[in-house]
Amino acid sequence: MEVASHLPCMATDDSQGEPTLRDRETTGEDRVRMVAHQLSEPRTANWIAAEAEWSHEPTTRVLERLVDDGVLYRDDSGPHTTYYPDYRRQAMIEATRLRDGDHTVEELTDRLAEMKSQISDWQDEFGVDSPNELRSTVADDGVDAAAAERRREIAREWDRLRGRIRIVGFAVREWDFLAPTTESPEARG
Amino acid sequence: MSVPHPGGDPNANLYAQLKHDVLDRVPQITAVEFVPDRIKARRLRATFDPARLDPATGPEPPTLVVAWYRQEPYDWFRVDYTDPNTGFHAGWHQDKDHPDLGRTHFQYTTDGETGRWGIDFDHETPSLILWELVDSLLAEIHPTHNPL
Repeated sequence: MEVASHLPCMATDDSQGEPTLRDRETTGEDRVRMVAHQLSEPRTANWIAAEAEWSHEPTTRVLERLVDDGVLYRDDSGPHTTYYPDYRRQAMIEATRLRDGDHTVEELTDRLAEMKSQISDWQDEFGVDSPNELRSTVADDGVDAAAAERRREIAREWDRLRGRIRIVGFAVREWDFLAPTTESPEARG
Repeated sequence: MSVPHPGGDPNANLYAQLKHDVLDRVPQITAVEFVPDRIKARRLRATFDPARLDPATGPEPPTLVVAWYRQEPYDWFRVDYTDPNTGFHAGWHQDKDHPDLGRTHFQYTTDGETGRWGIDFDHETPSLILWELVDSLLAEIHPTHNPL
């Protein structure tokens, strides 16, 4: 059960209709794109329009464009059409940005080794092989509340690190394939 | 039967999205960095221009640190604002630290005084939640705790 507070913690003041900073710095299309990229389950255009606080028709137009561009999948098999993002594509974008960034392949390789070494330290410290195994130890004898909380935090960080290792590892393995084109096609002849 | 979800990790590009969708658009923010670096990307740190806040603070720049992990059934996040000039700290946490306050709570510390209570957001999209709390910080929380 959540406790809602009306003390100053939320700024959107719809009652007075004053535009917030967000309203000034984003368009309806911006917000539809934000929502579309971060859906945690398939949603209808109506739901996305409400979340983005934009009208239905332009929302649907933007969603269809995102489907055409491969950003979203559209599912027409149910009673209502729903949309869902292709998170694989976002991982590719992230790997490409790492390739295009300021870091060298050696730096990526070093960070990769550090992240793997961190996981291996946790495996040794707790005698487990995975974040879920670590979570299963929080109720063990001798694990007090503080230790249990630490294990839960480490398990989450471990999950996050595994995801990061996959992306950085992909960028390193495909370093040449992901290389940005620096010459015109004519120059490469 | 519905079409299978394409899958993938919703955290893969999340910090780049929060940076692009929100923090890069806030005029009072002068820099947004990945911490400890772009490769490990554990957190985002936004730096404010103290002179652009209303009321102004300074001379040190306040910061907003965002740690966010997308997971089921609810995301885990901690967003923390610190003004080193006054020692003021405000945090929006969805971290199970205070289950008595519900899923998400707000807390602040200033001059030895601490406040903490449960909050709700109007949105469930991370970028729009971050906008809600940045709006709240700049329009209400900062002015309340930095009276002219």
